[in-house]
Amino acid sequence: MMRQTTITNQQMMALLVISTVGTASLYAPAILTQYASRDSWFLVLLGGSVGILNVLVFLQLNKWYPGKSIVAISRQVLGGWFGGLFSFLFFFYYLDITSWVLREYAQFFIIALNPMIPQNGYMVVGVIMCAYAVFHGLEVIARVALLILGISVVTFLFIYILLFNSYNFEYLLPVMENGIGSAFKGSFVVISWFGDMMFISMIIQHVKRTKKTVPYAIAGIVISFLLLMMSVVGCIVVFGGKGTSTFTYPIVSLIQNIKLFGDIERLDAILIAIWVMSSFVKVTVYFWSSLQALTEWLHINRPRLFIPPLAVAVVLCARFKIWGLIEMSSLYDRQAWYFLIFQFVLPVVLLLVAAVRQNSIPEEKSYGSG
Amino acid sequence: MEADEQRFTFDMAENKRLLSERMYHTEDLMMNEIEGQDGEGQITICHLTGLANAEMLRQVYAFYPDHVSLLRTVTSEYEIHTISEAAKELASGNTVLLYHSKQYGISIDTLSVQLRSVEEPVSEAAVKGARSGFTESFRNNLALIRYHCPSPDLKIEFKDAGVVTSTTLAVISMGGITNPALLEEVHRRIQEIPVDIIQGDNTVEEWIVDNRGTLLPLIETTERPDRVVAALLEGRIGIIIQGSPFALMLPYVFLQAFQVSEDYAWSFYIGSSIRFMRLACALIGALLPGFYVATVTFHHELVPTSLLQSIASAREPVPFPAVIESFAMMIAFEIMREAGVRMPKQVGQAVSIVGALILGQAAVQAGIVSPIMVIVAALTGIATFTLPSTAINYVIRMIQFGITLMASMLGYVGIVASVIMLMTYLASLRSFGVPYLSPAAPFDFEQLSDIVIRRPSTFNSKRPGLFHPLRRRRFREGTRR
Repeated sequence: MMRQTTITNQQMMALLVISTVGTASLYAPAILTQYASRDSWFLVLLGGSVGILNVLVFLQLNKWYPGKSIVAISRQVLGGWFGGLFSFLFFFYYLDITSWVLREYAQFFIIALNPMIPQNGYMVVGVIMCAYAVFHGLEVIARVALLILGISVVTFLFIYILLFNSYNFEYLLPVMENGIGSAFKGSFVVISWFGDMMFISMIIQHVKRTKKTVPYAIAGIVISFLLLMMSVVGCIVVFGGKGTSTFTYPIVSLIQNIKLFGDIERLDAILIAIWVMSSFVKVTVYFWSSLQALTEWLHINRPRLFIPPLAVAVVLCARFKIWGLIEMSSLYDRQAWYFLIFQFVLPVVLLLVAAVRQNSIPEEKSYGSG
Repeated sequence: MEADEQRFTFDMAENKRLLSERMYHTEDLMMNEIEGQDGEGQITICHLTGLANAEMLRQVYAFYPDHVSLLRTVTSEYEIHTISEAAKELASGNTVLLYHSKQYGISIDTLSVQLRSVEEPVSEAAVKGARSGFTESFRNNLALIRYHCPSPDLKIEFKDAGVVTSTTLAVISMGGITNPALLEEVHRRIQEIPVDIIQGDNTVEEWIVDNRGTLLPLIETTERPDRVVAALLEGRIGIIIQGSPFALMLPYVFLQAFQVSEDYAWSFYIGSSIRFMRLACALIGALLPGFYVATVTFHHELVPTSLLQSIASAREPVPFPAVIESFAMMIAFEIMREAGVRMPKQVGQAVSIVGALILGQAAVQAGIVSPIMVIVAALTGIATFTLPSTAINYVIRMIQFGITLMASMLGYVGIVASVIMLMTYLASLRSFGVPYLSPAAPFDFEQLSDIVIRRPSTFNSKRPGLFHPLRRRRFREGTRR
C-alpha cells in the first residue's frame, strides 16, 4: 500500500484555488468579454455556482466511499470492465490536462514575454520542476501550493489596488442591456474553468478529514470565484467590455498600465512569477493525479519509475497537439464540452449509478465504507 | 576481543602486563606502586603523563592516605573491573588506582589539558548581549550552559560515540518542556552512529540528520551558550561534543537561520526590522546576479528608459555576454573571500586592497566588466555576509550560480523556475520530523509571526509549538497578557 500522506484542509483549498483560477484569470477576461462584453461578471457568477455544484458531486462520492479515489470508486461502482474503462478515461484526462496546461504556460511567454527563447526550453524546464515536485509527493506539493497561494493572492490584490486611479465603474453600465440570454452563450467555457478542480477526486482521500473539510472545499471555489471576478471586473472597468476582448492576455496589459512614481512601469516581472508559480501548481497536481490514477488503475508498486516516461510524454504531447495559440483558444472556446464530459458528466454518471446501487443493495454501503 | 573482556586478576604483575599490552606498550603510561592503608594492600597508580594533572598526582603520591580520599570526594570517580575499561579511563586523562587485593580499580578524574580560555565567539559576534563562547573544554562548555540556565530542570545525559575514540557527547534537554519522543529519537540516532572517529560537531550532524546528503544544514550549530539555553527553553535539544567548541541544536527550521540572539537584546522594532533586512539580504544574495543577467540579456523592455541607458552605456565597451561577465565577477569574489579566510590576519588587509582596487577598479577601466556588474557582485557578496548561519551563507552563494545560469537561458522564467524547485526541495526536507519550511509551509500564522518578526517578549506567552514542547505556557500561572 501507499505510505500515509495527509494534507490539511487549508492546503487542499490552496491547491483548488490555484489550479482553478491561478492561470485562467490571466486570459479569462478576454474570452468572457467576447461573449458577454461588460456583463461578463454574470458568466463568472454562473460558472462559480456550477463549480460549487460540481465540487459537491465529488464530495458526495467521497462521503459514500471514503478513503477512495475516483479511480477506485469507479471500479467498485461499475465493476471490472466498465470501471476499468472509466479509470483509463480519468487517467487519460488528467494526463491530457497536464499537457494542455504545460502548453498554455509555454505559450504565454512566447506571446507576452519573449519570443527569442524556444518554446521547448520553457516546456522542458517546466516539466522538470513539476516532475521533481511529483517525485517528492503530494505533501510537498501541497505545502508549496499554500505558499504560492499567499504570494499570488497578495500580488493580485496589490495590482488591483495600484490600479485604483484608472478605474471607471461606469463602464459596467448599462447592466444586461442585451437581455440575460446572450450572456449564457459562454457558459461552457467558464464552467470548464471551474471544472478544473476535478483533481479533488484524487486528493480528497489524502485530506485530513475534519468537520471543516467540506466548507474549506467550497471556500476554495468561492475564493477562485472572487479572484476571477476581480480580474474580469478589473479589466472591464479599466478597458471597457469591447476593449478587453481585443487583448490576448488582458491582465498583462492591465499591469502595464501601472505607473509608480512617474518612472517605474512595466511590472510584468511580477506577473511572470505568478504565472510560472500557478502553472507549476496546476501542472504538478494534474501530473500527480495522473500518476496516482495510473498507479491505482494498474496496481503499480513503484510509481516513481513512471515519472520520467510520463514527463517525456507530456512534453511531446504538449508540443505537437496544436500549432499555436489561436488553435488552443478556439479549442478551449468551442470544444469546451470535451472538458465538461470528464469534469462533470462522467462523475455525475458515476454518482447516479452509485446512488442507484446504494438504494438497491443496502449492504453494499457498509461494504464500501468499510 | 577476548583480551578486551579480561578482568583484573589477583596477580599484580599480570594486571600491569595486560594493561600495558592493551595500550600497545605506550611509553607515557606510568605505573607506580604504593602501600595502601587499613589492609588495602598494594595499590598501583596508573596515569598517562601530560594528560593527568601533575599537581594532583604529586599530592596523591606524597600524602596518599588523606589525599586519595579527599580527591575521591571532590572529583568524579567510579569502580572499574576490566583491563579495557582501565585503558579507556587512562586514555581520557583519568588516574586509575588498582587495588590488587580486591580485583577492582578506581578511576579518578584528573584530566588537565591546556586549552584556551573563554573568549568572544568568533563566528557569532554581537554588539550587545552575552560575550562568552564555547571552548574546546567539554566540562567548561557544560558549566557555561549550567551557568546561563541555573535551573534544576536542565538535564544532561552522556553518550559515547565513535568506535575507536569513544568521544563523549552530552545531550542536553529541559525536563518538563522537551518532548520525550524527540529526546528518545535523538538518543536512538546517536546510538546508531557507526563511525570510528567523531571529528567534531559536523560528523555527528551528518550522521543524525533526517536527509543524508542534504544541501542545507538541518541542525543548527552555535558557539554561544545563551543561544543553547534559549533553544532549550523552546523545547529543542542541545548536543555538546567533547573537544568541539560548537554546540548542536535541533530540530532546526529554515527561517530560524535569520534569527540572531542579539535580536532580543534590542527593542522589538529594531530587532524586527533587522530580521526583515536579513531575509531581504538572503533574497538579494540568491537572486540579484540572476536578475541582472536576465534583465540585460532578455528583458530590456522592462527597465525604465533612463536606467536602461546607463546600463547600456556602461556595458558598451564590455566584450562578453552578461553571463560570463557575472560568472567572472562572482568567481573573483569567491576567490577573494576564500583567500581572506585562509590568510593570516595581517595579510588579509592586503587581499581586500588588492581585491577591491585592482580587480574591481582596474577591471572596469580595462573594459572587461561593466561597473554595474561590479556593484551587483559586491552587493550580492556582502548581502550574504549578513546571514548569521555560515552554512546557509555558503549555500546561498552556491545557489546563486545555478540561478544565474538558469536566468541566462530562460530569463525571468528561469529564475522563478529555480526558485520553485528550491522551494520544493526545502519543503521536502525535515529536521527530526519537523518540516524544514515550517511554519511557512505547512502554514501556521501564529508561529510564523513569531519567527519572521521578533515579537515583544511580553507577547510571547507561549513557546513555539513547532518543536512540540510538553508545556506551551511561558508565563507564570495567572499572568494576564
